[in-house]
Amino acid sequence: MKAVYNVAKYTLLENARSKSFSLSVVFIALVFVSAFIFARLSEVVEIRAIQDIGMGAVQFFSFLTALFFAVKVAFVEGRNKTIYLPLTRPVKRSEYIFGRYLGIILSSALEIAAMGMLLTLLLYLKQADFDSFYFLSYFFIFLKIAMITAVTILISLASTSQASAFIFSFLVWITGHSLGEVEFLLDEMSPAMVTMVRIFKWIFPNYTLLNLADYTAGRFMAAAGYLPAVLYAAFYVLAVMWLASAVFEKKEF
Amino acid sequence: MDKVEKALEFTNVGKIYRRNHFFKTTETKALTDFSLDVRKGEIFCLLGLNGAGKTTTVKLALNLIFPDSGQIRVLGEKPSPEVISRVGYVSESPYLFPYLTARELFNLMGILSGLNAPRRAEAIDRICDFLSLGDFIDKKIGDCSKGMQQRVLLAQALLHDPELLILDEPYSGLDPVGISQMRQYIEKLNSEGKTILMTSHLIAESEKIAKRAGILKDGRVAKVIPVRQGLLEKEFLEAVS
Amino acid sequence: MKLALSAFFFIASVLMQEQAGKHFNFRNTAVFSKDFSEVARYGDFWLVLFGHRRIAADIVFIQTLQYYGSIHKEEISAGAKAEPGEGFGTGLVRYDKLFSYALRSVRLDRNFEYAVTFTAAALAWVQKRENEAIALLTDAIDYWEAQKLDTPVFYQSSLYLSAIAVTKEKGIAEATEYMEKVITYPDCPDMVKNILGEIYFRAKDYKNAVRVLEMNLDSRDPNYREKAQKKIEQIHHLLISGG
Repeated sequence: MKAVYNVAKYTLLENARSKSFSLSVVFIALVFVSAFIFARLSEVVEIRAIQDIGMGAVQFFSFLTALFFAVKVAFVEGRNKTIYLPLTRPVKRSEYIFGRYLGIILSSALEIAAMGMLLTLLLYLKQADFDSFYFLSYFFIFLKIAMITAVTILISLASTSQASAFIFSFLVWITGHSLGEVEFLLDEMSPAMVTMVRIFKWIFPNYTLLNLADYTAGRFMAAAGYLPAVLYAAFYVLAVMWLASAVFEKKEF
Repeated sequence: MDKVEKALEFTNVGKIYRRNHFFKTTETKALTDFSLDVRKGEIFCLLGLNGAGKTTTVKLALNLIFPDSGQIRVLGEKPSPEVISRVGYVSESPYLFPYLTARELFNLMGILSGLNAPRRAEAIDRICDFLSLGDFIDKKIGDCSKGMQQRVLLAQALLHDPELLILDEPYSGLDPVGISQMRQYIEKLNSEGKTILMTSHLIAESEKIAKRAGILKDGRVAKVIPVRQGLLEKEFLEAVS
Repeated sequence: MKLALSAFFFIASVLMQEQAGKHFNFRNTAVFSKDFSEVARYGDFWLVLFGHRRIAADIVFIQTLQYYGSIHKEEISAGAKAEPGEGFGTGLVRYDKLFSYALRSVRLDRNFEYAVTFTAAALAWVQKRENEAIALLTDAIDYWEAQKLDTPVFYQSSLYLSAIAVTKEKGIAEATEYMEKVITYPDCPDMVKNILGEIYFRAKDYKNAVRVLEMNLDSRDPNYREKAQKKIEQIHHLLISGG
């Protein structure tokens, strides 16, 4: 556990210093520009538009940076041999990969928190009302990022190129959001196709259950569903990371 | 010769690299029936042309890759995270974490090597003195020169006071002054009782410090010879031609 | 061991997903449905696939406001009379696409009630196309009724529907009862307050006209602030001169 903690700590430090976080600056610029553009609209639409675009940007930019860090850890460092340093130490490979994962999602949590605070400040200045649903949305964005980071690490460990790792991870992100839409077609599908869709929903991350920022409070999920949704994300991450750990154990560098 | 005197031992090791690309598998034989041993306390130099199997040998010893056949013993045991704790490794190029400072890197590697805080602090001081790292230790590694990065690489390998040091092309990218310094470091470490396995293309430099040399050709050991001044190049060319 | 742990957590995740799915009680208009595909554009699909339906709906509604806020020469009605001072537009422009813009917005995000109420108000009380307004409101309200939620939603839309139905049957002046309820909502469009104020003004009910128009004095839109200010001053002069 000490190795996991320390690898995570130094991963967080490394990520915080990397240029990838400058993407957040782009986010900041986007939010302020949108604030000026929407200033002339009626108050209701302005606040909604700033909140939606702001949260969408928080999600998208943290997705991009998590993708970048995950591919770097699982693919790039293997290619450029930086990974030789920790692997030639008496640390279990599973401890190393879990530590790296933890460091990446901690970096993402900080990034989401920082961008979220800025957005909240802007909305506060625009006299928006906040409820617990708003703050919970950030937590669910973090859960989505945690899931895609685990998947990206697994994909990157199995990939033969950086580009394919990015592309497949993007496709997983899109698929995860589209699965809920496919349910509409189930009535018209054959039993075999229905089973296949169901299996896809189990294998791919089902973001329909976690996409709080895209819904309205009280019309998304009954309160009893929130805990299972959080546990779903946690168990999914553990399933993927243990699989990634098994792949990493056998991987040659 | 009993086991305990061998720091590293390869017995009939075979290694094939398999690359899968679009459902087609390409196989490359890296080592075939490879047998070699490195004695404790010696400086052993592994020589060979590009693709002869030098780096493969090093990676097998470090458990970075796994043999398809044969047996490997490192300090008398099968390669594992536990035995690796007694081995130090310096890679060919400084593959380091550019956003960390040298001190942060040493702390991380020290923790991963199982050193507690006082031992780490003592080790860092010792290594900095030995390699004259000075103020560079608090500079980001990415901002350091190649020569300094090479020293950082060597420093992290020495933190945990390993018994066996594996140096992959230690002179790579260094100027003549740097090469001379590196040679002095290697000799000093050997005089402290450390076993050194190094790979190199620089036969003249290898001749100056190695006790024995193994010459590889096409994944096999062509010959293992005691190093005699002025004769290593001739032996090498004979073995690889 | 690692594979066994992975399998264990995978099964646990499947169980939790099914459990969470039981409580997931909302469905937006499905991307593959006829309702969606008949109104959506290419860009809308991409935003939905990335999980940004609300942003897609916001963009469409902003386009609606831009469309409704500009004069389109190709849509100017031949021989139309200019009706200054009534509603947002000049009365000259038909704004044929207003209904389809709003429908696209609400089918992207079924929670976007403001898009429905604003556009319905513009269609009914400015453009005099009550049928389209009723069709838009009915589409929105019927969708929510089909969801069978415990608490009613889109109640505001129901008020607008009643107001517009009365407007269609008996004229706008008879719809004030419902419009009074509508203006109590904090997100009521300034346009509706302006229209109600004008109705009271024409009926010489200056007290109520001032009460309603004062709500627009701190409007974000300078156009409505100016209209409200001028109207209140006009009422003031009329009262002083005994008119």
